[in-house]
Amino acid sequence: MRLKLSNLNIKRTLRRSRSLTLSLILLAMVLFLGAMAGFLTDKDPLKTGYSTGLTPPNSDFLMGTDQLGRDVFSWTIYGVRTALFVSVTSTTLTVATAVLVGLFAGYFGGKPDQLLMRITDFFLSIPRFILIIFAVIIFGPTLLNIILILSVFSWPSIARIVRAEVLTIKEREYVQASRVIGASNLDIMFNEVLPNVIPPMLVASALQMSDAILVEAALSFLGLGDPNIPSWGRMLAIARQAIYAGGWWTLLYPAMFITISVLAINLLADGLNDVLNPKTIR
Amino acid sequence: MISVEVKNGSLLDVQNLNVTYKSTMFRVDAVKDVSITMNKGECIAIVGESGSGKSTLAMAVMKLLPPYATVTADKIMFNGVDILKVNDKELAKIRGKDVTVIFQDPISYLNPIISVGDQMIESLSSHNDKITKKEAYEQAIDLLKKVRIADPERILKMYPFQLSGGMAQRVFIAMAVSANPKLLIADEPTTALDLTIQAQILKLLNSLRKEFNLSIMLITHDLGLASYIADRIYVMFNGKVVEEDLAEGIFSQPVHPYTQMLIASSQAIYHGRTRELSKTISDMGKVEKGKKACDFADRCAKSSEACYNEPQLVKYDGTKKVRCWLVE
Amino acid sequence: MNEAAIFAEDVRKYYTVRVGFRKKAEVKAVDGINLVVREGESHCIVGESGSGKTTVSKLVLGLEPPSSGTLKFFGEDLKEILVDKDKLRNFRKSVQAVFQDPYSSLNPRKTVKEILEKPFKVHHIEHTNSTIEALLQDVGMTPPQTFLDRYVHQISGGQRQRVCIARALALKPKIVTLDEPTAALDVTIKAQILNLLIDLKSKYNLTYVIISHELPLLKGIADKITVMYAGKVIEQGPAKNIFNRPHHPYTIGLLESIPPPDPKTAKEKPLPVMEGEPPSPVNPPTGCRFHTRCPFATDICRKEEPKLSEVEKEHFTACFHLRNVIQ
Repeated sequence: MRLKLSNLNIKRTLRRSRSLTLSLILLAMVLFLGAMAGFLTDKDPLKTGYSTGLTPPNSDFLMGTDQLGRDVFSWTIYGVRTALFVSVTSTTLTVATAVLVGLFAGYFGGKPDQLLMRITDFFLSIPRFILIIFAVIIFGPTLLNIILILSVFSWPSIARIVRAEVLTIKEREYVQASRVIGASNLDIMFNEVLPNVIPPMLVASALQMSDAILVEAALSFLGLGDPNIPSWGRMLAIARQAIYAGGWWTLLYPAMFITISVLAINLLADGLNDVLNPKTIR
Repeated sequence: MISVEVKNGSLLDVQNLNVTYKSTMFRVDAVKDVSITMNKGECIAIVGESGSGKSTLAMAVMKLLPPYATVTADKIMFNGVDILKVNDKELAKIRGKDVTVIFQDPISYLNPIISVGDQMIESLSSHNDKITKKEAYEQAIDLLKKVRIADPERILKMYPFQLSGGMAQRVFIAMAVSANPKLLIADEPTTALDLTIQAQILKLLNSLRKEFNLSIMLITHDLGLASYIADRIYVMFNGKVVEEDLAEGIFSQPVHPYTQMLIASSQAIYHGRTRELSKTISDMGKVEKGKKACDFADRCAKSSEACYNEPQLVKYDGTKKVRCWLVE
Repeated sequence: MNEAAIFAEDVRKYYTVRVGFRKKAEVKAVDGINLVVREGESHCIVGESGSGKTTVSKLVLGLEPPSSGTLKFFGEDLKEILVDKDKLRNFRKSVQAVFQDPYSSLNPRKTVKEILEKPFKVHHIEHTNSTIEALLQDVGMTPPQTFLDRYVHQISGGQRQRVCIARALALKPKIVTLDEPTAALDVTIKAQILNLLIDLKSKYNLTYVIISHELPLLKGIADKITVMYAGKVIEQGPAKNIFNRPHHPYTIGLLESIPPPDPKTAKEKPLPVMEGEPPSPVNPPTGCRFHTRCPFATDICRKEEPKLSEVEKEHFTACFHLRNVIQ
């Protein structure tokens, strides 16, 4: 029982998977805040001096301000855009690369396949985060760099998943049938194999997105993020000191948003798996 | 013919069994209102095509279905034990000892990382606490010899993936008969095997039946197999029994249109005379308005207005029962 | 037509597999077969697992070239076809296939329409909905319009196989290879599909190469039969001969292994059983490959390989003890 978008019955799908429903609700809330940031606040997220110092939440500042007078609410909801931008673009790059590489390696096998496997092994054997840190230090902490570096170090493991799927699918009889009809290798790869690789890929991609958010937050926390963009990670770094002065709001809100975003995306991955894989329903 | 005890249903008595698979996505009534009986030493065949519910039926009898399957019945009595009321511990004792099952693809039911010998010893020990490893090994060798394996010592050392399909099925059968069961349920045991190997396994089952006075419930779509080994046959279509009778009765006088279709096709194929088959035998149903209660009506040449109501399974003639308005 | 549709002479296909750490073994899947399939003929290749019949189907489809030997299609050598783009394109149009498993031979993410359009699209042939509908009509799927937008999981097994057949016919091929076309189908549907295949063959003057282990089924459709065992041809000839007067002990045993669907005969006649198992293609027995299971085997059978010799007109058997067992 597969689902194609044209056959999608939304109510039924949502009923099937509680994870999916919940994740969509959470994501909708978060995205709404991020999208409406311009309307919800008039304060610049990174600008200091809106207040004289650490201020708890009040009618002027819904989430309070930090030690340097930055508005926590503003930074938090503009941070949604950062998190979203980084995760979506880096995941897109990652998945696109991974799918292409995995597809070619899995389908043709032989030397390209061997090469891919060795590269993947290399990337997987060294702690990824350390490599990312080094790369950011070397190339400079700008948003673009971070996105590219994230992609470069994330595609190998997904390429592996793709390759494994391709290996199975290419032996299926409908692929043989296409060969017999006379379809070219490229035709088969993209029209027969790829559509069947996508469902398992969707789940891995969703998880990749939540991973990207966490890595970006971690980098910013360490001071390796882009200083010109509002990142939740950097809020956490600031909160480290604000906490001692009793400024719980500087920690709570960014932490909450990171948690909710990552949770929502993981639930989405779960939900996608439920929906696309009928065997797990039972 | 094997002599059969006259007392009806002395071994297995199932009345009005229903099995429904339910999940948040769908609901399938796999078995509807099925009653079967078996006597000691008897062999029955449950014959049907894909989707008939025959495998589900066999598994349901011993409550071997997954949790999302709902099993209800008026009665399930096995050898005097009420299966519906018995607790799990008792049921586990009956399974594997009094009732054993063999499946279509034996290699996937054997543990791939344990040698055949170890698995057999494990299975033998679980039914008999007092047996020593050495005794179990000797018994395993005996059992393999009984299933006509020429060099049992070599087979015991092997791993399941090293066995051929036929070999694996023999090993499985050996394990199945090791506890001297009263009933062997065989679910499409030869479908995955070559023709010559299929014949070997068939003959083996038949001889084991005589040797151990074993009752066999054969699930199959192959009428040739059913003819060879069954005393009585139940024909299933879409979860219901549409005809039941002695084996000879089913073939010499098929009453239900589906049974007739099945036998006609089988025999036509066997004799290479499919061209003579009536055009009414088809998998393409008629496009008709309204759903008839009888599921077969869509493909039935003799369907009529009556088929909008559900026909019951009634006695036709002596040993035969049929579910069709043509009879009532 | 003087040229055979398919001509195979001493064709072998060997595969190298890794056994263990550095050891390699050679799988002699097909070990020297001869085959002549004339245009319009229905040639069936029969065998059990390890016989090499699946490999033969791959060779006949040109999916893989033979390791050695000559394989020609309408006079053209396969080796030349595979290296020439134009020749290959024409070849693909004229040799089509129907596979065994109707469940996995159709892409689950495509509709019936998309699947049937594919051959036309690949070869840039103009087509309309009516073209597709005509194909569906041809294979008995009426009314065709209702099936166009269905997905594979929405149609039954028999209907899927019909779609596979329709797909094979789309390019108006000359040769159609069918690999166990009815093995996965229910009994009532087997007969229907068989009849359909027979009708289509005469309608379009097709040449069939049918690989099957369902011997009785072939009675209705085969003109010629090749019986394979362990990579070799052990009997070959007109279907009537093979069914009525089989010569090779294996063929005889195979025919007798099938239990008849009739309790009276089944229980009266004991089921003769051929002991033993088909040999492994990596390590076939010496001499005649069947000698390990043959009740008539003698010394010479263990040492030497029998060659195919003519026992009746166009009927060949490879056996040292040419016996004619009256059934």
